[in-house]
Amino acid sequence: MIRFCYTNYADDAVVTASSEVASLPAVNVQSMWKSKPWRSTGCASEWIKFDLGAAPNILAVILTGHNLTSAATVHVQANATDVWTAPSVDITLAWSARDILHLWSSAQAFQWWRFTVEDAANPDGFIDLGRVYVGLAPAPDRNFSTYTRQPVDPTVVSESTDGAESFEDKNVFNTYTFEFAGILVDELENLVKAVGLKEYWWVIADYENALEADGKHDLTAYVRFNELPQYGHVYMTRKNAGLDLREAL
Amino acid sequence: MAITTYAGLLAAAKCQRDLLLRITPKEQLRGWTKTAGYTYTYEKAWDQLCTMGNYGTTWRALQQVKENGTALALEVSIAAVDAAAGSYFYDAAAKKIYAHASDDGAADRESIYIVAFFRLHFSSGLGINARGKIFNGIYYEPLFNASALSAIQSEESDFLTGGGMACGDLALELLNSKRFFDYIWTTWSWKNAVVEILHGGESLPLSEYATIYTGYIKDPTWEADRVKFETVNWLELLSRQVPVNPCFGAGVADDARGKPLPLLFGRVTGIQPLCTNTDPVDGTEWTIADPDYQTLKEVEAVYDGDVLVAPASYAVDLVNCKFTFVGYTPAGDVSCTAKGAKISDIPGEISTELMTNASDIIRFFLLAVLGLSSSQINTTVFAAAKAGLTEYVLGKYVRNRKNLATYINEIEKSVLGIVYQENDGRISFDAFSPLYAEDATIETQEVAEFSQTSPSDKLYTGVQVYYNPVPATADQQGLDTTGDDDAFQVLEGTNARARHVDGEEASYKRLYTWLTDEVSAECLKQRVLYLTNIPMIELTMTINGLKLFTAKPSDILKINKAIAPSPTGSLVNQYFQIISISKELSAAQCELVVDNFKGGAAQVGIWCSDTAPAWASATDAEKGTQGFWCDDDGLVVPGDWTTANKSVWW
Repeated sequence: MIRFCYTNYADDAVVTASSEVASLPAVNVQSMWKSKPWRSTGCASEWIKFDLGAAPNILAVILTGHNLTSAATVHVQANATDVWTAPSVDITLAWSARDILHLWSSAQAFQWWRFTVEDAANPDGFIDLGRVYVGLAPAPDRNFSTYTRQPVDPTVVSESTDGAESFEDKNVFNTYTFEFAGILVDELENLVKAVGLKEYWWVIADYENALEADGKHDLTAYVRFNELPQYGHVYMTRKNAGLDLREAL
Repeated sequence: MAITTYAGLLAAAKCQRDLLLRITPKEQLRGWTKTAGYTYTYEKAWDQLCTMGNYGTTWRALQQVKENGTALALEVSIAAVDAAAGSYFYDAAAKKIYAHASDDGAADRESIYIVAFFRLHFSSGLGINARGKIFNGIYYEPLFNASALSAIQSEESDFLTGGGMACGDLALELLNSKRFFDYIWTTWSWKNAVVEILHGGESLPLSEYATIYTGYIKDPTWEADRVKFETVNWLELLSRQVPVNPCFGAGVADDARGKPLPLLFGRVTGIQPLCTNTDPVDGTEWTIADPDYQTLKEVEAVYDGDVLVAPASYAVDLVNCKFTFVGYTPAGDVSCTAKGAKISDIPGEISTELMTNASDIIRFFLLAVLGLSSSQINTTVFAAAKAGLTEYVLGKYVRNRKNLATYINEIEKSVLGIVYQENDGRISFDAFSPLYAEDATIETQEVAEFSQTSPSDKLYTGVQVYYNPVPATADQQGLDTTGDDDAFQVLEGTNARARHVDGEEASYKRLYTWLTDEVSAECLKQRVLYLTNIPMIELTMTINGLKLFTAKPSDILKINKAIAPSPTGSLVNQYFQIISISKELSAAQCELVVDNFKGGAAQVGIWCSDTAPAWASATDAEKGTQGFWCDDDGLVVPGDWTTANKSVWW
């Protein structure tokens, strides 16, 4: 089932870390740019910790914009207090080149959350982590019926008088569309109301699928709306709707 | 393979490029508290990691701290600050600035302004693989909207009329949709903040990025979703007026009061000094130049009307640029012949030689008159220009208040030189030389647009060099004509080819110069005659990519173009000089106008030794840049007129 991750308690939490480069502090994970990271000073044993101030229901955690290698061991931990000897939640997260994530089927209500990272052979010698999500993961009552994923390459091509071309490389990003048929649109409307066009959020549409050969989930991404949905009436309160999303770089 | 050098980046037809923008605003520091345990030291909490409202944090790297405009010396500890008046120390761990005021007084006073200068970092994009631009642990906020960037326009007018380079004013736009600037817009000072644009990309380290623009903010504008900075470059300073100081004070003669105190360079005759003290009548004081900026090398002679005054009748004060009559009452107009500023009048120089070299005079204006520091000019290039301009002897009595650019312009055309701003912001002065090497090579596949013209406004039937500028009010005996300020002697020469082949019979190139002697004027005349007598070619081109982003007017390009108007139907290793360049950052192109006016490009050769290659074995580059022995007709290969004009003495 597709999930919309836009209620991020980590963004309002008090965040601390095992170490940090002064100019790239832990609070950078609360910045909207996934390219603006928290950077640790080492990589063998690091952690970043969030005090949510209360114990809201948590259904998903996501780490985005990281430099972790496939050999990294990443744990998500949660506890009622700031004590980590035997936390109530301690799960090893599966590595992914893009988004490292975990979904729970039932809510985890804890005030303290921590991610530990061991990546001693990381060639950078430090850990970069751009964004952290700790929050809800609502889903519509029915899954999407069809989807598209299209890579977009905005590279600028210049042609010379004799036809030779020069290329100004730009970063490729994906666009996604998800079509829903005859759904209750409450969750979509809540999403639209919360993020509009101007906020980044995560869509998780293939959590159960294996990673692709490139180490990424095809349909899990840090995104924003390219266009807000248009609802088409079907029957009673059921409607057709589509999501038009653009991957955030 | 990863591209890690700027040269590699420029050479790549396919690569990721980006721009970095660094802005150095400032903030007045108030709310200092006395540091416990120290006598003179005050402290203030100041964090380089700065919270920008809801945007998050950004890094502001402390560059320097100034007290009333004077930089405080950076020390390494609180104790060192306490021991040195006019110093500061930044404790990064404690996130505090410690300062010791220059007068040992309190840091928090109305009478002093302690100001922190710090650098903000922005990028035009996220770089390769969208990892973000992070250098030395500093994240460059991706808020620099390069697509809205105006072109960096650099243009040099006909250099024979005096460089007149217009260079690189730029409007910058940064995104503010996440309210980065809201909280700091009014608390920080953006006026006159230095901006730098660096060009690079791929996997280049910061040290490989090239600075392509340096200026300072003139007008900041806040809008809800963006901020804009109108920036100008340091050449803007040349619009200031010189001479600077007016003549005033007790005893100043009525006809001198309020006039500018002149500046004197070289040896000038017919100077009418200002009477700066009329009392007593047999001891009047006469000021030749402004002692705030210069001294005099010598007062050679003083005249009362046409009568030479005996040296015993006046006392000379070279330091204060004046002489005072001693028991002598002039009956007529007082005039004199004097030698002006010495090289030692340039800050940092010690030579007491007379200042007559164009490079020295321009440096004097920049350092002594405008007050620039030596780090703001390229001293190496100035030194090279000085060495290349020894054949030109300059002199001028600068007494009318004008834009400094006007005077610089006259100097430029006196010596075929050019003042410009380098990409790193330093001001430089190049002497034109035909001993050129290409700064870049342009190949066919890089040329997006191409056209060729032969502008008639660069065709002259001859040249007239106006030299030996003497105040026009003085005795003009022996002089030929009068210009705006001065009377001159004139040397004239004719362009036979332009007259007889192109049929140009009326247009003379007139050069009003600061040259003082006929030898200098003859040298200039011969060179200008040669340059203006060749067939003129001007190319307008658009070059794809950012290859020329560090180029400037006066740079030499070696151009290859498969299809072009020429005897062979193409251009092969032909040399041209950039007249104007427009760097279109958003389109990743450069629009160029180049011509062969300067140097005659491939036409000019130089006298060289017996080791010069034979024509038959010389490369195209050697044929374009070296001289060759020739026959009486000027032909390297007898009978082959394509080998003409290859033995020109420069």
